[in-house]
Amino acid sequence: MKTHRIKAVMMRHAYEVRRNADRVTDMVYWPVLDIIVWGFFTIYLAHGGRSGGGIAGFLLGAAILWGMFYAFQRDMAVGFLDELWSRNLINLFSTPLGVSEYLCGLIVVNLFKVAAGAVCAALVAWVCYAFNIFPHLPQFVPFILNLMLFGLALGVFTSGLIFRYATKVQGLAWSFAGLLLPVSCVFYPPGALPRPLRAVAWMLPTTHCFEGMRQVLAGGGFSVVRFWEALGLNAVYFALATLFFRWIFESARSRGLLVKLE
Amino acid sequence: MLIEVKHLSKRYGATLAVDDVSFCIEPGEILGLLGPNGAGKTTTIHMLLGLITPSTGEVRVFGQTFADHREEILQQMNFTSPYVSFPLRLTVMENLSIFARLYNVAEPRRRIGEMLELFGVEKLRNKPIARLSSGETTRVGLCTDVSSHRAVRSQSPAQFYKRSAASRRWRKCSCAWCGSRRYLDENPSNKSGDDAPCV
Repeated sequence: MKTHRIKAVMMRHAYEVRRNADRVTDMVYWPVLDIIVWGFFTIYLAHGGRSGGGIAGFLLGAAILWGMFYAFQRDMAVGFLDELWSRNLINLFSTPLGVSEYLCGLIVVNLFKVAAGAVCAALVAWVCYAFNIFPHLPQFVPFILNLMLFGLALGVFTSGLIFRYATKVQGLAWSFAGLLLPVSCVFYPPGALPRPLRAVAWMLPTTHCFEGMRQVLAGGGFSVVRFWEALGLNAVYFALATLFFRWIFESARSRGLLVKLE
Repeated sequence: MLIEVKHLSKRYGATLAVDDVSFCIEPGEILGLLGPNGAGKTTTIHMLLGLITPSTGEVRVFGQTFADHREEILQQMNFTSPYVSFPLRLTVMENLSIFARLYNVAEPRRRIGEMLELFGVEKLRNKPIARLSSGETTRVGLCTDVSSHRAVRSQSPAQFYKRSAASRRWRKCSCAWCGSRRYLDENPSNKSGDDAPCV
């Protein structure tokens, strides 16, 4: 891998953010809007005397972290779709650029985009709803990294599907993470799920991350177990997603799909 | 040997897209691929670029195979075509800066400026690709050859570029060993002489 080529990919997507209002909307508008909606909901709960146990903090913290995970997964797939929509894929892959360099560049840019969106959302939560996430950040960072890793695995998997089925499945870029939302226990503990779904929930790194987040906010400290279990699951999902992508990519080259994607 | 193609074939199920093609290109040599639609010219070029895996046969560029030396080979080649485009919202300069970075070009701004001037599109440098005509976009495509250092500056290739920029049905690759240009052209209307279709 060469850093100049990774930087080229970063430039390409940084320029896209600068020139494309849709990307700015995705980056800042939706995370902030989410916090505003959840913030009003916490006010409603507080006025009704139903916000005991720091539920407002749980909800707003979860909204911020889920926003980061969702944005990262979406931007990984949309970054790839951007090349497809602009018929730029052949341009890129007829240069010395490798797939791993492309993914690295995309990851770095998306980390910056996610961080920008999360900071805006966190500031709104702090200023408007008196929920300050920043003191908890040192304990949140390991969980945030886990969420990013899972978002990456899903993004790579989704990109693989797009390689195979092109824009016919582009909706997955926005909807795939949503499929996992009910069983990721973002806004409620796993105990709230029907028993058969609990087993599914514990197989997702997101569940471990949000349980860890709730433990931090409840004053229980950083959960090493939740962190390592999430990381272990992420290692498995990331390896599977990478293998899937490599298989699909080679299959696309063999079947001539790489030059016919649209 | 610049490019060596031996018994190259590509089959998609029951369809034989390329059937046992063999040819060689020596440094300084020009080669045209001519044929009707569906003859397999584009598929052959895509196999030369490593974008499609051949069913059988072998491609060697600079004596090396794509399987082992993809990066080194593609560092010395450039590809443009009317059926590829660029990110539409990005300006010409931004798009070419990305290519300059991909090829690790020294003094990219100067080099891009030279290419824009060569193809007569220097006034478009701050325009988004979306606002260009298809002919202008094709000329910008030719400017992606920012990594070459010698041949493009010589008069004859420059004249070729200028005349053929409007035809929009050819591809090229460059040789960093000898500095000469290789054009991959699938347009049968391009005839002999200075405008010869060529690889």
